[in-house]
Amino acid sequence: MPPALLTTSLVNTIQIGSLYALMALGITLTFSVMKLPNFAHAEFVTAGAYAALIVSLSGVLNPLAIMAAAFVVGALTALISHIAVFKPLENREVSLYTLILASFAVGLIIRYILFLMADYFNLFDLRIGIPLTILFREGSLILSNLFAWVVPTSILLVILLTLLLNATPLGREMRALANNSILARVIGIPVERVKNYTWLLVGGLAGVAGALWGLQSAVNPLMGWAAIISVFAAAILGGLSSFSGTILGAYVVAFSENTLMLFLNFNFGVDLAYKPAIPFIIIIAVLLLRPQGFTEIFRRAGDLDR
Amino acid sequence: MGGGYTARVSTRYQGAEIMTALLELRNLRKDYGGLRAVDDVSLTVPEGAIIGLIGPNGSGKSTLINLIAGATQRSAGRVIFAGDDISDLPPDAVFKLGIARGYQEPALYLKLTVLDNMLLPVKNQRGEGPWYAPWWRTWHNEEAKHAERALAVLEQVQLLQQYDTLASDLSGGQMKLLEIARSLMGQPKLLLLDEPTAGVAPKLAYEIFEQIARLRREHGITFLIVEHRLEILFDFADTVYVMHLGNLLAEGSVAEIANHATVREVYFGE
Repeated sequence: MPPALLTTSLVNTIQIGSLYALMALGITLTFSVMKLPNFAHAEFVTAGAYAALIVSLSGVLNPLAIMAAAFVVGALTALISHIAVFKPLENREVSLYTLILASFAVGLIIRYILFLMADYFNLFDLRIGIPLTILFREGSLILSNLFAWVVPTSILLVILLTLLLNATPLGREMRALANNSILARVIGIPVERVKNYTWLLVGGLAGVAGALWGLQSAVNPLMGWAAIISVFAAAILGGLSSFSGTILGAYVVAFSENTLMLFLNFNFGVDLAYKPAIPFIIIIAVLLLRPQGFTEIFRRAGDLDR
Repeated sequence: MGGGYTARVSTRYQGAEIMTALLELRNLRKDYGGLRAVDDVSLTVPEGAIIGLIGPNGSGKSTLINLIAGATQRSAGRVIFAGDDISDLPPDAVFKLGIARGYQEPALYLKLTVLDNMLLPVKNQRGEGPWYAPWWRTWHNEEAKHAERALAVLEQVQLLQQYDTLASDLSGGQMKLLEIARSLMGQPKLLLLDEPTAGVAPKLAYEIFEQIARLRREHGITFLIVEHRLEILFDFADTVYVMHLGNLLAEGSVAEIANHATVREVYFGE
């Protein structure tokens, strides 16, 4: 495998891995605090991407403003999903399977609302058009300002989320809910409020991830859905409970899909069309061999274990 | 007019009566299908008292505690706390009114530190709102104040050294103490304790009750305690209620209960 290709794929690994981490942390947080494996998370990402796209098409090209719009729309999408669907179901104490199916349904509804909108205004496969500049060029390796937006923003948000969770009273209540939700009510934690805040946070971060995704590739109604299996693979690698494990998982998945895939293609002739199989292989392998994922490696730091 | 006057007088009289009783159960009943776990129980817990609740396994003691705390829905009867009917309130509302509880198995956040466990029940924290949480400055002073209070309480129960350890790393007795210490953070008026010394070494069990007596003395907290270790309970309780098959079998001072013929029969098998 030529070194130039290796470096390019590693850059991709970092870029995609950072975005996966941002999305997968949302899934880990939803699963820990709300006990819900939320497949509609994909559509929070897409909704955020469309918010970003529409804002950018309206002439606002400041990436921060674009991301803020994506955050707000993603957060509201998540909160509305909670209030309209997940909360009533939880109050009826339905089983986990019902919740999973409901999350698929919520995702489908949002996805096809976005399809209708995209169809009506013809918003398919558009890139969020901030001006492209080349920051760094060395042989075939090109780093644009997109890389400079996507990677530091994702990493910064991941750090901020970790800090929020581990060093603020709100985060303490989220950890408490993740650890023992029945006890939370008894000792007077405002459970419903904390859940609402968690949804806002999770949806907002998903929205920003969508905006960043739309900066580097293109926005279409299926973009979140296309990424969700990889993102779930990352979260499952983190045992759906460990923050550090999820972040590591995100980069492992991104590495497998980019660098490892290219390596297999070059040296063993594995067709690149097999790329979508990688997250499935990871999920199955983890569930069979090590269902707890990376959780045991990071015993203490930021664990959301129940 | 005369009828109105009488009604007002009787209300006032009831009010005066309730002043002395912090907690009052009136004909409380709980059915689980065909099983009557708590059958028509009425009892009074005076403010500042340590009340023992004893009885064989399955006599309905824990159900009674759950009914008071709002964790279980009653079938009939009423729970009156500080003059208010709290029969239908959910557990968090009951907690906010000042009723905290401890469990047989210490109910702690095992993955959180001792100090985190202490800070969770503090009401109306600024930093628990999403708009303030990211801005450390807005809540840091308040948090420091809460932490100071938490550390002072931890010192009282001799857990100060362990403030940064995970709750899961504490011994059984320390977990019990942490549970009591944590309920103090909510500034409760009434503490419901379900076997506070279960699974605790005898020496530490006695210490736990000394802490209870001290909390009553220094903070005026009222206690309703389910306990199997009668030799310790009898040293500290003012009044003891005995339950058997969901019914209140007897009520009295420690001496009265210890010599009560029926109690000795069902409880001690004599």
